[in-house]
Amino acid sequence: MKRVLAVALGILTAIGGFVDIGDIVANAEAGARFGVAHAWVLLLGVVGICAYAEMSGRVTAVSGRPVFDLVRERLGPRVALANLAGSLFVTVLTLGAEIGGVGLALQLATSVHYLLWVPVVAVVLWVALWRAKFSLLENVFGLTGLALVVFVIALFRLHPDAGQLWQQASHPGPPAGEDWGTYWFFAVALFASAMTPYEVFFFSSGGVEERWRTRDLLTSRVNVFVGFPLGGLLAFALMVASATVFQPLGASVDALSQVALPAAVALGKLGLAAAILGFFAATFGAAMETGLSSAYTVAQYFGWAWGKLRRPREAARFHTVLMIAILVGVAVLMTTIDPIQLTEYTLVFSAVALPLTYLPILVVANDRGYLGGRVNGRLANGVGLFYLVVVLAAATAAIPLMLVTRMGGG
Amino acid sequence: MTVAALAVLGLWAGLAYQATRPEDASGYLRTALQVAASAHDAAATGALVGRQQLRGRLFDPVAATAYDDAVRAVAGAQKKLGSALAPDGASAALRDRLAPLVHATARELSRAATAADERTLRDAVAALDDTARRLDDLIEDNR
Repeated sequence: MKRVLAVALGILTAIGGFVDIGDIVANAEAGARFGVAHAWVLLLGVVGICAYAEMSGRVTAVSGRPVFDLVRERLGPRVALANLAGSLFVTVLTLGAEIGGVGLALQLATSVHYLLWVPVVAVVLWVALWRAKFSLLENVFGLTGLALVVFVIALFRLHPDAGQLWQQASHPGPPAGEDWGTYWFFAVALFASAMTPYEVFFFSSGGVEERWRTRDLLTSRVNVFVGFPLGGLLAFALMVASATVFQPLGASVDALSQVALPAAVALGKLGLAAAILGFFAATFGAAMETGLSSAYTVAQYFGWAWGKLRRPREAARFHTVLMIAILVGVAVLMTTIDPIQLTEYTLVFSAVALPLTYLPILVVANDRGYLGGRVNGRLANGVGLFYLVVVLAAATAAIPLMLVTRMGGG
Repeated sequence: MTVAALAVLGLWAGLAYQATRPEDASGYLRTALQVAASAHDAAATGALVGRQQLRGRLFDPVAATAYDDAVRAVAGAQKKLGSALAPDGASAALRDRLAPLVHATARELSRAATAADERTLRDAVAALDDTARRLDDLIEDNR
């Protein structure tokens, strides 16, 4: 019974924890401008993150070590340094975007400008990561993030035109007034939002924090193959809700206040309150994950003591990196860059860094020295290789598309 | 070394020229359409927010933030339009048609945000709907 409850809790936190500021922004923006013509990209991204998160979880459960640690050992410090540089840059930027997202959610609740919330959020985040237990943080924010289910419920009240949605989803392409360049720019951003590099490192390091062993493989797989797709469903609901409310108006979405409106239109103040709570939990939870992920990767690269299982005094350098990452994230926001714009840039850079993250994972997941008989099978390698090609294409196209479309402005 | 320095200098000069040269008619049209689209999005969103307020479906901080976001977007659009020089008569005519609509969007958003009673808010919503429609017409006419 206890095991079943643990699995159920893991699924729920995986669902609630799947969505972050990148998913919120990318799905709402794409929905308003293209309807659900990008539904296939979301599906592609969710299957991809499931494939690689499963590999990371398996590597951790069997070897008892985090993926990044093994990447450095297996591929050497130079390759691992390229991996570290790419993923750390994107993860710290994402951390800034998540802190900004928390500020924007608090602005929606209080009307106090988000920049005034940013230092407060940073301090609370640092204290929470310093003091609170890993499992407590993961469960509280994962479960609260489930409030975003309000967007799924809202769909039943908004009565979207199912025929039109099916038409858009089954005939991908830009609607009248949009061009193919912008369509592909949003496709790359959506794909990057689903396959953010920090997710696999956090998932793997979290597995070590929770002391996964080979017997926990089932739990890990259930979390990934049930929790992540259901989390993807929340992201899809954001896309459909945005398409239903904003596409008929011909209006694009570029503010978090707009993303919340479909919940209010469908369900009134109760729906709106749930949406704001969901935004807060999703972004704060992701801020914790990105903060920890930054510190995990640096500490694992240099071989320092790391993790929330150790006392801060025993992992002083890990906690120092964590604090510096939060400060850098705050500094980026203090340039007054719009957090939504920062998120858009983060998604583009994320797309560029994807191959640096996923190729080493595929290599490690095929190493019998670490995994014995649990190395990738034909299916996992086939899927992994297919996604490497997609990831390379997205990485190559990201910057040119950003320049040609002026960040999707057309 | 000298070749590299010259190449960097040439690149820098090219970028400087690109950044400072006045827009031609097609460039101006693109800028004007971007401004119109931003103002249209702000007007349509403002009208949507106002309607939800009238139905009692929004918390005040959410409405205030949504209007604030829309006003900021329009201010950015106004600045963009103001800094672009119309290269010919057709562009000037487009500017003369667009500028009052952008200005009206900013004015009606401010009226909706500060509306003290239902009637004022209703009027502002109607005006925003009308402005959004006219901006949409302008975009369609020039696409």
